[in-house]
Amino acid sequence: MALDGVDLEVSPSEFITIIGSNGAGKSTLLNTIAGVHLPDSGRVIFNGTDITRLPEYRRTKYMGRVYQDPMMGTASMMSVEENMAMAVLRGQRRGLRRGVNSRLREQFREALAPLDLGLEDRLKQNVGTLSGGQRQALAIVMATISKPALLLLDEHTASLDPKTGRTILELTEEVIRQGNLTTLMVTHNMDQALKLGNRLIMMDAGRIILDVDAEQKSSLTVRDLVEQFELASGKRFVDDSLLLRRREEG
Amino acid sequence: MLLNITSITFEQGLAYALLALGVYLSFRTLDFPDLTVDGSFPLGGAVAAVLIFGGGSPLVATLAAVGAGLLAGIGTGLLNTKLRINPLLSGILMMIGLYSINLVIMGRANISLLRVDTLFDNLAHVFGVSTSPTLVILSLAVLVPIVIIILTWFLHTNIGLAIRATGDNAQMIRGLGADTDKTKIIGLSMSNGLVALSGALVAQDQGFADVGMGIGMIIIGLASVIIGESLFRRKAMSWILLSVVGGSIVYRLFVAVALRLGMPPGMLKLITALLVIAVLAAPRFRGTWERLSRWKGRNHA
Repeated sequence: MALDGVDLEVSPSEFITIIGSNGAGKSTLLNTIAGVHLPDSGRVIFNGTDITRLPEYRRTKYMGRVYQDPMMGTASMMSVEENMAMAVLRGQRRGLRRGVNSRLREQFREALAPLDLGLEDRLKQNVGTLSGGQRQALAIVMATISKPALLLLDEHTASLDPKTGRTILELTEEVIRQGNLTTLMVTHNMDQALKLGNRLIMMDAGRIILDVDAEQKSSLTVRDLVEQFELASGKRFVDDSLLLRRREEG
Repeated sequence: MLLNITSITFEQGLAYALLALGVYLSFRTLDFPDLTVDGSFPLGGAVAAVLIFGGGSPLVATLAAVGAGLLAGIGTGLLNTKLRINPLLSGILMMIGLYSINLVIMGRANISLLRVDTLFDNLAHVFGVSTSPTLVILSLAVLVPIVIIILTWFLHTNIGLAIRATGDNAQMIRGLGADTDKTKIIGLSMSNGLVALSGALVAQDQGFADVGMGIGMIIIGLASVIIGESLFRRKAMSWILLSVVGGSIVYRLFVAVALRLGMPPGMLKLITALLVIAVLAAPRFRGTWERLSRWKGRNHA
């Protein structure tokens, strides 16, 4: 769980997928960018400003985040519309104005309707009554509704069943495309990492061992990636979900 | 006798309802088991009693009591958020410290208010009646709903949503840019302000403030909250707050009946503790109970 000399420059509207074996430092990278962890050395620069020491809650103005656990991105004992209202004010001052009003409610309906989950008709329901997939879909809308400069996705489909995971992934792509959002997406799934996005980085032992652009990426296969990994790291790729995948291909 | 029980039930139920609302704010809204309550309740009583005894206006004295409670809550919040002391311990430290502070404020262990005019006496003068339990009940029956309306409004404002989210999913609301240290401090401050208000009103109602009047208040508040929640099971915020008030009244009814049935007053805190244990443990045994009744049903069939 550490980073070792990571040097990563992200340009606007890049959609980077991040892969690597367990403990490669993928989540640590996101946590360092988001301000959950402070780096021992090195800096985090955002739009030319050094934000290395900025507390987490103050840099979220620029960053939307969706976690692996659907429970983490939403407040279960509060209603759908209250969750949305909190997300709309990402990084802004929260005062004594009413959180939800009819204008906002209309905006929420419009944002939720494209999900096709009927959430727009369940605004007053507690989020705790929703399924994991519904909660994750809501979390994505919440992470992106205030148009963050950077979207961080931390294996956000990993804990969903395959079908729901696919739906959420399609939804993610759609939201990113429409908002032209700069995105970092950590995934365990090499297929996903190759198909989505316009840049791919691979990590191992806290370092970036592979960084390919859209053009190179389009010609790569999962096999190539695994080979690249084993070449660069000098060890076998250890990841349960990948073993299966390799057997299928082999 | 029945009338007497009813009157005591409502008089105390409403006066302690503000305590229960305060406990609801810390325990449920913030998910912070705040034991400051045992110190901020007598703090409210002490501040109000000293000022009234010294010839101050009862209204100003009551507001000062609220102010003292707000400060106590801020103190606990700072211990927890800035010094990173665990929530339970922060509350206990503040509670213990407040015991001495309350003694210093009062200058002795108790102050009688029987010979001076309290807020309720003032109200009686205004309406040209004599001070009676009925007057106390009526004035509290106006005050408590006003407090509920203000709380409901506040918990639906943007800052109120952030405070509720702090107890629900702190990581999430931090991720949305709210300073959870601040939301905790605000919530604890309001909670203890309410508790101190309750202490100030109880002292004026019973005619004295005592340095020991806070012992077990956290459990009484908690008992009211969980009785209210389990009896009324409401979802909307205003109804939940009303349920808590209802819980406080039901608790007082329970106490009044128990005392009338001959329970020694000294047993009250033990019985209250057992009551809270029973309600907290109930969900654990619900499964067992259902299995048992299913098994019985099969045997009967």
